[in-house]
Amino acid sequence: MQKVKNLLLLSLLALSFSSHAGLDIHNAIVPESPPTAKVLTAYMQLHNNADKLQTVKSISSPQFQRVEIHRTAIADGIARMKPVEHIRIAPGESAELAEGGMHLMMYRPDARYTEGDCVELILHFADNSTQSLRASVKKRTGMVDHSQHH
Amino acid sequence: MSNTPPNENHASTDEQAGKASAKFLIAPVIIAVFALIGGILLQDKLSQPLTSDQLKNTTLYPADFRPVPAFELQDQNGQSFSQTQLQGKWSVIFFGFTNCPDVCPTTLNILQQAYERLGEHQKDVQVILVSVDPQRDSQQQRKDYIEYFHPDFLAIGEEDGGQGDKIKALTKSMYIHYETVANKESPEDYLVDHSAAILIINPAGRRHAQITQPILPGAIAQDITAMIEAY
Repeated sequence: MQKVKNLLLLSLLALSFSSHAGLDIHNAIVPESPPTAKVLTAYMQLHNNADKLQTVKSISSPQFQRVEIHRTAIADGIARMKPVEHIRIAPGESAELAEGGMHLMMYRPDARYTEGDCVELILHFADNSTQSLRASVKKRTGMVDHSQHH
Repeated sequence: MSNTPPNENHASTDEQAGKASAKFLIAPVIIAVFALIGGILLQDKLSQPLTSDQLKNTTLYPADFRPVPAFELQDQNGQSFSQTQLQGKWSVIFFGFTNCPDVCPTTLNILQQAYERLGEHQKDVQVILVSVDPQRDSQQQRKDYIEYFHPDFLAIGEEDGGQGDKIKALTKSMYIHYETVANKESPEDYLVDHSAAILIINPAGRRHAQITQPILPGAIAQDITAMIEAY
């Protein structure tokens, strides 16, 4: 029940922080990481409900020194990380940040984040508007189970 | 199967009861036949231990693949870790670095789940992260990182202040590639592209197999169990 309440609260927060009409953001998660991890990631689904193309040109967080968008590409057995310049989402289309794919590189957290904590993220769009959201910190084990059930 | 007579057991029981002397003659023959079949199967198993087709996400190397050459690194507790520590156990080796937020923790989390599923074979297996980032992955950093995933897991690397030549030598001998990629935004946050391979070293210290994508906890646990039992 507490979880449901938290989720509702998070959704409300996500809505109230939003100052950009278009993107619907689902399942924003920051996987819990080892205590000394200096780089954390975040995963989420972004859906463009608006009737115009939307371009996320950068992402920031008050809880991290710097956030970059990257894409993992495994080719010829080598995992390579490529910086992503921007995320362009056409009307009606979605983009996904997920394990082994596009993801955030969030450098130097201001504190240790564990399951149940929240991370605030701000999407910066090409038209200079912004949208805030909160991602919840979850253990990876739970995430994997979740993805296997769907 | 469905047309097996339901009274077959009764018949044989009657037979056993009624023709005890015949049984004494038949028994050695049956034992001999079973021994022969067993011997053939065992021989088959020894010459052809297991094929990749019988495994879910693992490719076996040819038998007697050359041993891992001598190397000397250090585990997360500062203890020396060399090729000697590969003897007598099955080693599951993954290459990565602690500043890697996506592939490495995802893989280690899957290996943790696979390890938990090994049951009685857990004691036969050691899971090892080899840090390919000697500059940033100090002993303490490796310790705090790996023990989060499992207290039994090992994170080996060069001793603090190492120049990377020992890691380079080991990875080269295992055909593992890694390279440092500059970060234009922030030089200290350079990236390390690295082979995503998960290698299996057998208790003789030889490369035995490689786990292939997609890596899944259940498949890895089953494959490791099958390799241990066929060895």
